[in-house]
Amino acid sequence: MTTAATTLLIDRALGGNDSDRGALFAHLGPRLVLWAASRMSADLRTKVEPEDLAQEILLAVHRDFGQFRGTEPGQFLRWPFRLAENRIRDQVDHFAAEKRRIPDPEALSHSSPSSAVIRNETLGKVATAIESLDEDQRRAIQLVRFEERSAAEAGEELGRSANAVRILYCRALKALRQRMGDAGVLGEKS
Amino acid sequence: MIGGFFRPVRGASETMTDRENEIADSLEDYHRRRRLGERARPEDYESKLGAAYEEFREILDAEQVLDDLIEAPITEELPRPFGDYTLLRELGRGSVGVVYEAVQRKLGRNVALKLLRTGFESDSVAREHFLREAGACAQVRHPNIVEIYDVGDVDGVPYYAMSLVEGRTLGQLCAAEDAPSPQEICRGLADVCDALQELHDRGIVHRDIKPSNIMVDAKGRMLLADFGLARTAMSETLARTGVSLGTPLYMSPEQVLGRREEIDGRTDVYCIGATLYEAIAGRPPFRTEDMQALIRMVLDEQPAPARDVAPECPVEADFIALKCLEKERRDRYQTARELRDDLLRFAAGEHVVGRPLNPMRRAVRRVRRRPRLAAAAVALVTIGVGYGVLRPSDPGQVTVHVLPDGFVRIDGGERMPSPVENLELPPGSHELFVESSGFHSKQIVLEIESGKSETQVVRLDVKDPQDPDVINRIYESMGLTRPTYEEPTEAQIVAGIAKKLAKGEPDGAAFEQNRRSDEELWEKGVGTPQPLVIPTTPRLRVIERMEGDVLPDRMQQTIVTLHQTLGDAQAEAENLRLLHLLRARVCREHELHETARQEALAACVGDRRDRVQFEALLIQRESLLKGVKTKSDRDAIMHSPLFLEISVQLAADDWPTEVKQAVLRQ
Repeated sequence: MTTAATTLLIDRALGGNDSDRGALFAHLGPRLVLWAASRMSADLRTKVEPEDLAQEILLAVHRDFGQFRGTEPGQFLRWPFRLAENRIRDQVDHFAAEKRRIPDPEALSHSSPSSAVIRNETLGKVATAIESLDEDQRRAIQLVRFEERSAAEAGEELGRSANAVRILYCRALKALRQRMGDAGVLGEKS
Repeated sequence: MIGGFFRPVRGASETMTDRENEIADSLEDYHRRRRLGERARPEDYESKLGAAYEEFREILDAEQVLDDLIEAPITEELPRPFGDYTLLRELGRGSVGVVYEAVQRKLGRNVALKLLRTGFESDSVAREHFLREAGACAQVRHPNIVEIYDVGDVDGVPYYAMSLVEGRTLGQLCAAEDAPSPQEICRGLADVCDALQELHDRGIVHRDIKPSNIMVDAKGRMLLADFGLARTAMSETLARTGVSLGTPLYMSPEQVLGRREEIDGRTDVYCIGATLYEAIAGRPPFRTEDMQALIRMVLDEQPAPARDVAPECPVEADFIALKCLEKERRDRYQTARELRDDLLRFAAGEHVVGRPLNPMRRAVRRVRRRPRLAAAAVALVTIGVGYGVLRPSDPGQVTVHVLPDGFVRIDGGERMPSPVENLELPPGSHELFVESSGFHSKQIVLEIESGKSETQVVRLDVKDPQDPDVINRIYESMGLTRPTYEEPTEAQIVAGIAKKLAKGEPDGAAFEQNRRSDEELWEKGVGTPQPLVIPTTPRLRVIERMEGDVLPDRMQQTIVTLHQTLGDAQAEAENLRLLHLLRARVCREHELHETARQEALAACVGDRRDRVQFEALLIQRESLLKGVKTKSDRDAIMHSPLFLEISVQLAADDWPTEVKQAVLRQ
């Protein structure tokens, strides 16, 4: 469910106040980064930084903000995530094509060191952990936690009942907790 | 190919256990309560979940990690140097500012350092505002205000340093085992008001007072922290608190409306009231998960008295909170000092001066704010059934300007269509008598200043005689004949509403019907103070929500669809059930339990095994047990034939699973 905070931010931003728009973007940014990072393979992340991708998406949203015609906050919220999904697919295709064209191992080592790692270590580990989950579990976390969809909405997307999504989400988090523990993100199991 | 028909169904292999269902339910409940601003703690679910609790905690842990990443900065490496300071850790962040705990290296002292957030350095408005607020606050020295040490700029990033308070926030303190008494809270808040007065005298409005912005140090002293550093308190609040508290729970109507020009010291008075309310009632004045509904509540609804929520809460503390929470600034304490004095009176065991408005006056105010209702009110007054708008207990004067085109203004308010035709009276004095059933009639003197001028002024003076002879004389005095009025059946009304809704029109008949049921409620003395006489009628509320798409679209859609697909008679019967259910819900929300039960009963037609009936049964059963204090009373009810009958019906095994699940999840 789109949370109250997000709804209000979107409402006000759509109302045309620039500072409200800034607040909305500040709110969206981090979740878009984690969303993107957990959607990209580790390999892709060495080529495209999730932060840059998120930035690019927010700029696009900013640029076309006036064109948004919907009135539903939930509708608005889907927009950046859909852009991100498309953008990541483009990148995957692009690098796949490039790989076929220039099988140059040098190319990778020339990329700048800073772009080879995600700047925040925890974020990288968590993103990797999410990415390593089953497709459905990963989608459940992304939809429910990052995109703030209700169980019913997420269910539509995943072709499951709302109740199945609730269970799937719990299972996903349990699995995630396990993997994060293994990756040393969390301390010892209490 | 073998088994070609048995295509594996997705997810079929994952059988869901009861345990998993319980965990999912608890998780949902936990988040719901947090969204509502309740103090939900994971431990609350320990006994319910038993062995599964451990798993529940793991899930929450994992969510926490995600939330930290979502809400926190992504790239920050701490500690890092910043001018004369070393930033140690982040304490909180807003839309434009971030607060760190930092060390001032030269002096070796720890401070709280607030920086303009990255990305806003070039935003000149944000920057100027940040510096102006910091500068203003730095001038104020008060023992109950967090002290500002230093204001400056490092590499273009403005900052200011303030004292780091070791302690808990008021919110944390009230949620703790050793929560302070209402007297202690009021004494502390009185000090905060003292500090606020100091700020207000300098033209600074804090705008963001709430339990998490009041620090309580080791000695129990309350300090006001975190000044209006954001450009609007709204965005600051939202961005800082994120999901669990990120709602305008403490915001005044003028803030919610974004009327910056109306924000003054009385805005802070409101926020102190909301803070006090939460401290004594254990929850914020308004709560709902629906943002639009919350805004509507902040603008239109009176909070339930805190003692309805927490029966042990002292009445006079409640009065103080409710007076602060008045919608209109002029009805609140006018200064922080006034509020402080009353808080101190309460803390000292004396009687407080402040009282919330009486319900009638509030109704009048409200009517003036809301053109559509006001129009209806004029209608009521004028045709002589002015129940609830003007009452003998509420002497005063309302001026109605009747404009040449038939439009009216009430007390200089907005121009609105007059609901009454032929309001043409000759100049002079006219007496009106207004009656409402079960109440004294009242006399209204209509002064018509001039019949010739463009504007006809009708002044209604409300006096207080009691005259039993009524409506006919009213009509007589106006030279009108009393119209015969045929009472529509409820089914007709419902059908009417559905049709109007489909066309997007408000409904006069529904309004009239509402007024009637409101009278009934009032007469029964239900829910006093039942402040908003006209608007709180359950059905009108339902309609309002339907019109505002707030209450379920789905429900509205259902009614309309019913109309399109069923014959009129059948549709009407269905509508009626739905409306009974909605009313039952609304009555339950307002703790009108007997009414809720009756409504629910009316919705339980036949032995239909559908959602309406299931939910109605649940409401019936719940309301039977509501307000029962002792165990023996409770047992008696639980063994009563009615209760057993309901329970048996609910336990029947012929309910379709999806019906039960749908209702229970809701």
